[in-house]
Amino acid sequence: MKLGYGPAAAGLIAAALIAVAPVGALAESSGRNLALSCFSCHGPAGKSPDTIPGIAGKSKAFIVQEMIGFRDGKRKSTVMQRIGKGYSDAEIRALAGYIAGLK
Amino acid sequence: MSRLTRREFTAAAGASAAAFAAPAVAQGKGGRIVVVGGGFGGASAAKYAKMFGGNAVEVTLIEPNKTFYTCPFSNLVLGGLRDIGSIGHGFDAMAKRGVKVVHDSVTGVDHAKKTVTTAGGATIGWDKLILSPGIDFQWGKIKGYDAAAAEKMPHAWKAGPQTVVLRKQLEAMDDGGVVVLAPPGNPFRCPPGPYERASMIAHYLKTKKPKSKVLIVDSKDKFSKMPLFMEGWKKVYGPMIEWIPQKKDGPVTEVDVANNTVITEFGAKHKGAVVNLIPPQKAGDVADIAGVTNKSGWAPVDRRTFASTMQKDVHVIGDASIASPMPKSGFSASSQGKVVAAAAVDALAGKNPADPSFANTCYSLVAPEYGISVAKVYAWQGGKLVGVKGSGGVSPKGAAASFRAEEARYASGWYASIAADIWG
Ligand SMILES: Cc1cc2nc3c(=O)[nH]c(=O)nc-3n(C[C@H](O)[C@H](O)[C@H](O)COP(=O)(O)OP(=O)(O)OC[C@H]3O[C@@H](n4cnc5c(N)ncnc54)[C@H](O)[C@@H]3O)c2cc1C
Ligand code: HEC
Repeated sequence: MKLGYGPAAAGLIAAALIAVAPVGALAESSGRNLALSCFSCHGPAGKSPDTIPGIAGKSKAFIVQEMIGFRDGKRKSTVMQRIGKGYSDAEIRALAGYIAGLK
Repeated sequence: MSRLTRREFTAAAGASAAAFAAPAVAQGKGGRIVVVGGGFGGASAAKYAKMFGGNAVEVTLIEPNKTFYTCPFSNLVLGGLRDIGSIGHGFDAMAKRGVKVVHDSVTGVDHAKKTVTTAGGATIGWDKLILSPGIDFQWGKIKGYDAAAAEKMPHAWKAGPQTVVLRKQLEAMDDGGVVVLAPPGNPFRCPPGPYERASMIAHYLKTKKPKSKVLIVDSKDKFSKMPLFMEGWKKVYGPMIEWIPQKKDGPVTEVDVANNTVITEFGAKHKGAVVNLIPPQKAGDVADIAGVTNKSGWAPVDRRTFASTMQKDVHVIGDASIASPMPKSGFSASSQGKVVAAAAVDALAGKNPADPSFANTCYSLVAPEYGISVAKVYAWQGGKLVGVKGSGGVSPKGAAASFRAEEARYASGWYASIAADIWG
């Protein structure tokens, strides 16, 4: 499988050069660092080969909603509540943006 | 950061027009990253350094083995749930990505010249060196236990041939035998590992040799996920697993190989039909050679980027590093490998690396349909690496059988995912 990190990252960097980051947003590189550990369970770039649900191809809004749902206990889980509690709202938006931007 | 020679720079910049465009490429800067060790930390670092750095970064991975056998899920091989082939991973995908894979052992590191030398006689230059050599053993700490003794009393704490030796001994054992399992004191690779192993061996015995038992002669008084393991053992195996804390007999200090016996500080002798002795550990020997370990036997690092505090432009990740509060696990090592790859690529491109974020989850199987886990998220806060308050923790005690079964299913999902993320 080939992953599209390079072009995606380059595109976002370019975007960051022209766009002014909104207040409370984290840098693209922070989103990346926050998202990297997700792939150990959800598979490379979120493409799961086995029993854990994949998160590739999901929108930023979906990932944010699910993460907050798990974190706040609104959605039942075996492990995601314990993971979700590790991130603030701003961090969740940043990592979700990064994952949603991958090909 | 070291400069590229004019020739290397031109080559890198020329190649960058092709396939990958990446941050480093955009800035026209890159360099050479050499990764030592193709296990959880090293293979993650090599793959992600190539993905992040694209053609501007030349990534070389040095690993002696053509197939890496994972310690994770090796306990399932002992339990008869998997065969050894299913936990072996090769490096073809890594090579296809453009990582230069060298099957050799590093025997020397020259920090002035920024080179490593190998057993095979190669000299390889680097701008950033990432060491992930895992563990080696403190031979001699347990009297009578050396590499030769390990053929008779396997440690199986590096997977592969040792896993097979232990499995064969279990298969050959008569029903009614005692399997002695002797875990070390802290710190060591994979805190819940010995107790998952006791579970998997007990599963095998329960199904094939029900009059046998597992005797854990511990050099500690408590262990990872202890209440959960105890709950599970009682439920699934009854008296088949017995655990002796070190406060009773003292830590294991000696072995009598001829009599397959472990001996504790207070003189207690435990003879096993099979003995699995897990000796005290240290950073992989090449970390000593590289001059990145201190008196503890492990490598101190600046946990923001896992840069060695002892040598410049060298990162040490995984079991070999002092990463506390992160445990020595494959998940931790991989998490570090990815973030450190990003940091090294950024540094080569002249950028300040972003703050790190790490995670760890260790799944353990108490039985094939009975999984438990411990998790934590780690962040850089106030100049320190901390476990994020409120995050992580262990699976609930007293959970329904369906919850344990779901976690067992997710444990195998985790294994497939992390293997694909690292070697796929
Ligand atoms: C029984 C058991 C069960 C486990 N279960 C789990 C689990 O379920 N989940 C989990 O997260 N962790 C688990 N672990 C822990 C996990 O195996 C380690 O934490 C992980 O392997 C550490 O990664 P690493 O990169 O530091 O070292 P390793 O993965 O051991 O990789 C080190 C590599 O470096 C190579 N190397 C060493 N010296 C040199 C040299 N001089 N030159 C070149 N290459 C060299 C070695 O050949 C090796 O391939 C378990 C461990 C055991 C023993
Ligand atoms: C230890 C393994 C593990 C890690 C690490 C992990 N997840 Fe999960 N994830 C799961 C499991 C298992 C589920 C199913 C729910 C449950 O039981 O926890 C899940 C479910 C999800 C879902 C819902 C998917 C769906 O379609 O229902 C999302 C979204 C998600 N995770 C996002 C993430 C993100 C983002 C990260 C990184 C910050 C992450 N996960 C890290 C194991 C993990």
